[in-house]
Amino acid sequence: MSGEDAGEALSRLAVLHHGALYGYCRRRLGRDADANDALQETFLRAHKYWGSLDQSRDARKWLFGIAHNVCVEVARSRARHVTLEELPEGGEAPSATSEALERIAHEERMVHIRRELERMPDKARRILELRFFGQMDSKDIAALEGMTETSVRVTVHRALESLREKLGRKLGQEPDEATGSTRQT
Amino acid sequence: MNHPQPHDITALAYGLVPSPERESLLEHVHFCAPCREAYDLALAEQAEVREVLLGETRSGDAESRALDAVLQQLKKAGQVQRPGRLISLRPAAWALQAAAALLLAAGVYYVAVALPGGETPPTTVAGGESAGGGSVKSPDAASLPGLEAGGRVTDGSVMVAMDPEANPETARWTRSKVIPANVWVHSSGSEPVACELDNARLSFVPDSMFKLVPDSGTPGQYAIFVLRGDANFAVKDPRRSLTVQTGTGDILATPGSTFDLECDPAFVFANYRQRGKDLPSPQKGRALVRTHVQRGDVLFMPYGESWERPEASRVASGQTLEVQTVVLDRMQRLRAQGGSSELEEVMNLVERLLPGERRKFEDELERMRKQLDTAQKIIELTENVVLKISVNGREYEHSNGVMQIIEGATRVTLRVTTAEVLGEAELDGKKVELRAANFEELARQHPQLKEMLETLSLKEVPGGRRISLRRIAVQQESRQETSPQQQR
Repeated sequence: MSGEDAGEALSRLAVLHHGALYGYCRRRLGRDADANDALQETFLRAHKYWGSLDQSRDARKWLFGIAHNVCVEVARSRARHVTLEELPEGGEAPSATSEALERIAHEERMVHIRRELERMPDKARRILELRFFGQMDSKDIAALEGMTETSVRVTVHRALESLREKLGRKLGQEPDEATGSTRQT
Repeated sequence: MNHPQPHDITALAYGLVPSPERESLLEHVHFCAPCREAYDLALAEQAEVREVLLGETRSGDAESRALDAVLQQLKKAGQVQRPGRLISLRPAAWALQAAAALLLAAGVYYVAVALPGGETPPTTVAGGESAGGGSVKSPDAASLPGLEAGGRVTDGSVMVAMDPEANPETARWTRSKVIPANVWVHSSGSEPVACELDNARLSFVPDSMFKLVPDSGTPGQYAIFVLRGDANFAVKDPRRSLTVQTGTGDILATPGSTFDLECDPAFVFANYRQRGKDLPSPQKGRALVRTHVQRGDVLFMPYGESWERPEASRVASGQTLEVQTVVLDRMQRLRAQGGSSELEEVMNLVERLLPGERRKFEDELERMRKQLDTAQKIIELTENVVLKISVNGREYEHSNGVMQIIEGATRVTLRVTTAEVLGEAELDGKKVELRAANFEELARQHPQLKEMLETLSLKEVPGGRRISLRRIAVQQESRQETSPQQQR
């Protein structure tokens, strides 16, 4: 395939998928500047190897595979840079309404989950990121990570079990105001 | 009962399980209460994990800047231009922008169309009033000659496909403030996009994909086909309803209603063909995931066979409808016409439908040939796609899996569903409803149905028995597992 064809095709793919790819790189690398560089490097490599892309393959997944490798290389070359975000302070004055309490509880839960996700083993977190950003399934991820499908699933499952334990309750549940017990959302 | 491993349930909820294992696990989960509970918890959990992972990385204009940098790099690498690009109005174009805004106020759209040389000359594309009566802030809009404007962007940024026929994966895109009808629109920025139609206000999250299509039910009005992404719709016209189409079914919103829509972000464009010719499946269109009605009410009508659950199709204010698509079996269509002379035609058809598997069907076809005299026999088995629909937790199923057998004067149509009415048969000129309750009795009364009924299996489910084509599917699977060498 000619360079021109590759450029046009990749430009279209960039318009369609840059958001998810950027999000993935940003998530992996922690900084906008690094994500920006990684995204450019991804498309440069894609351009270089465009001729090797099997046209029956999902181009999005192919791009995510490249982005994944780029991020791994960047991460290896430097200590991983991720800042745990602080609990949001100030903002709106707390309201006594149940809706406001629910919202605050939800925000706190999100912060806790985020914190625990950052502490999750890197491999498990990578799998989740490839799933949510790259829309990849265990087969795709296994091929990318050099794992078996079963080990992909077991890795995620164990990490999530540990996450649930650390949060002291099942995710997807929120405290019941009256009883302090939990209920399914 | 053999339960799936816990890690498989987790993987299922997290969307990690590919087809066909996914469908098999979903079916198990549907009928197994303990696994269902574990699955539901994991599903709720993954929604939060997903929100955390995806939510924190959408960073302002950074994505847009990154895209610009990538396109510049690609341009350098391949000496090509941004596809249909016309944004980034140069300083010299600023005056043009102001002039165009003035002209717009006078009822004329001036737009810029990307040219190979990067020139962006103004082109008049439509006279008359602007949709919704508001003003378009910027003339950096593109329009496509020959395409009418169906709406306009009031906030945010969209790209529109320049070719109405193009698949989103192959289309050339251009930025636009005008939304033409019949082309894909992509909310390409990092912020939500707000749009105005004649009778509705829409907003889409970034990376959504939708299209305005003429609404066949209301001439002169557009329906919105949402391919992926989350959206909010407000029907502002107090007299006219609004149709929203998804890969799973239509939503008819009553005048004045407001509702949210969540469509599967994993929708695969390449497999999308045309609504009506396409059926929901894991690959082809499990687009609608959820809709929540804030005000008014909406009607949900799944595609496929008629929907016989009116209490499920209406989603009232405050209610949430969730859709899960499950493909239980993949089935093929086989048609045979009477007389042994037709055998070769049938064989050819089998060869076409199942390349390389002709031999596997020879015994069955020989049996059919013997049965066929002057009668016509059609076995039509489509994909058995089941939509599992819940409205505020109450579950319903809708299936477009249909089995039809016509043999002489006997015509049987079976719909594979958990609904009480399983199908209908025309037996000796009389229509007979096929229900689980009269299933065995019918087989006794009508020997001609016996063979067909024997290929089906019955399963006890809450609220009755469920008929399925499992046995046929199993037979097909076992055939597929047998290699031609083994058969010989």
